[in-house]
Amino acid sequence: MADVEFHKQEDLNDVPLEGDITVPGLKTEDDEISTLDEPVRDTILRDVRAVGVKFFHVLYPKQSKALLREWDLWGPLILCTLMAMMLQGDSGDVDSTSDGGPEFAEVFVIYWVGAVVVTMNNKLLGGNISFFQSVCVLGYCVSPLAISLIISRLILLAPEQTTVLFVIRFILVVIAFAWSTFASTAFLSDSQPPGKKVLAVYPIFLFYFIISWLVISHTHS
Amino acid sequence: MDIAIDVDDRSSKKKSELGFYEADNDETIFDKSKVQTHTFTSFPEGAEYEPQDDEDETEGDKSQLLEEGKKSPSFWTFEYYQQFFDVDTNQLLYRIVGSMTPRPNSKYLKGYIRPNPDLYGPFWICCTLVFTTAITGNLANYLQTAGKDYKWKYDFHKVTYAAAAIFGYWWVLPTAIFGLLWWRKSQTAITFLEILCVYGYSLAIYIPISILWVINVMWLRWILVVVAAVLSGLVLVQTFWPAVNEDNRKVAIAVVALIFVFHALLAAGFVLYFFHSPAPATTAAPFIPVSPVTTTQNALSESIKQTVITTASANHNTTKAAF
Repeated sequence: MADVEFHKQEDLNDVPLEGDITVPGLKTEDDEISTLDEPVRDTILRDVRAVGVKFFHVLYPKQSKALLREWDLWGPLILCTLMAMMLQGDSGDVDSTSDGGPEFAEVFVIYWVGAVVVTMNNKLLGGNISFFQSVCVLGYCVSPLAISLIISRLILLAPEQTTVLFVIRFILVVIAFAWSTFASTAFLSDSQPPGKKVLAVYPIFLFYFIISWLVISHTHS
Repeated sequence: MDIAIDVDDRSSKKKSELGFYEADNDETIFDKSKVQTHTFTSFPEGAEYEPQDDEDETEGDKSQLLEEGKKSPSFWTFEYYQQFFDVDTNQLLYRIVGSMTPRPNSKYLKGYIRPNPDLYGPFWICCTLVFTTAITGNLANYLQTAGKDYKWKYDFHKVTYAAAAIFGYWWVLPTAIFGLLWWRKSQTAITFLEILCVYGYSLAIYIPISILWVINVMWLRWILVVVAAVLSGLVLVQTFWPAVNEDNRKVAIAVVALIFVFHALLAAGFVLYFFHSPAPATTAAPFIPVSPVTTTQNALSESIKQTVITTASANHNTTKAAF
């Protein structure tokens, strides 16, 4: 008995019974950064940095594919929630004191459904861009308008609303609108065949125009 | 530290061993597949003929493709919907201009829409019209109350009403006309898509008109309504006249008249509901003309003080809540 057991152990020592669940033909893990054993802080910071880089690309638009290659929906989600919170009407008790502004959900729906419809339009026209890439770009490109909304909220804090202040807000929103449209077309219009560029850009224009209208119409502080 | 080195040692050892095993595995798999292909070739005859049938089918498809030029894809695929967006910019502009210039001898359907009716134009025309109506309606509202002692507030929910009215009009009327043509067994083969397309484009003229409605002069607005309704309504009537022509004369005239009247009513409803006064009439749905009572109420509210207006708007709001 003892002899046999000893023999078995020796065998085990010679050929250790261990394996690896690797599919033949796949790359080994050596050439990739392992994200399993890094601190959580690093993981979060890397994602935050990626989102930050994308915001920078939108605010300083130049022909770059970074926004397209690695899409995420964090930025759009943050922007959307921010804008919906700032734009939502003061709902008052029932309706008598409300200011007629949109509800939170209405802004939210306009933002996402708008982005989806514009993307679908892009795809239906024959553009070669993936669905989420386009939604990501459209979402990120709202950021100039979000900035203009924040500034106009600050302007609205002034005790007396004069025409001059309104003109300032108006100019701000117009600049932000042009900026948003320009940035998103810089990223998206390449994906269209030549005869259809205008057809693809028009819905984008309309989408940002509507959001600009929401921003400029928001009159209560 | 020691343990870590140990682990590294082990893993490196594993790899070399694994490399060996992998090669071995591959070989065995290759062998298996060889064996399998061999058994495949010795399948019974019925099974063997199947791939040949497939080839025949694909050849048939190819020849069909060559004959027809294009095959229509399945309803559930994305490509099916892409064919409705197959327009370019010039074609779109041509169609929009065509929809608002009635000419005595030109057929809008034949000359502009066929053979490929699109949905790009109609859809975005409707979207644009929804927002231009809502935005300019608010703007007109603001201009009307600008000089007065009345705190203006914008009404976002005009978008909802405008969307309901416009998209409703765009879908309900074509469905009704298509149903009618089918019921009367009309000989002219107009597809549902073509009707939808013509109706969508017929709304295009209301976009510039709705922007011009901002000008706060009531008679000018009504003149614009008449001009727009006549221009695009005539194109609509011209388009659908051949389809109902062979039918009973009375029915044909009634149908064409109804098409025109509904088209004009849409515009009239816009003016009455969105561009009328700071406290819009409570009963004015976009399709139904406003009763005289509400118009006098509006006239009153324009002239009387702020208190009256606020109560009226409160009324309006409560009824809205009741809805």
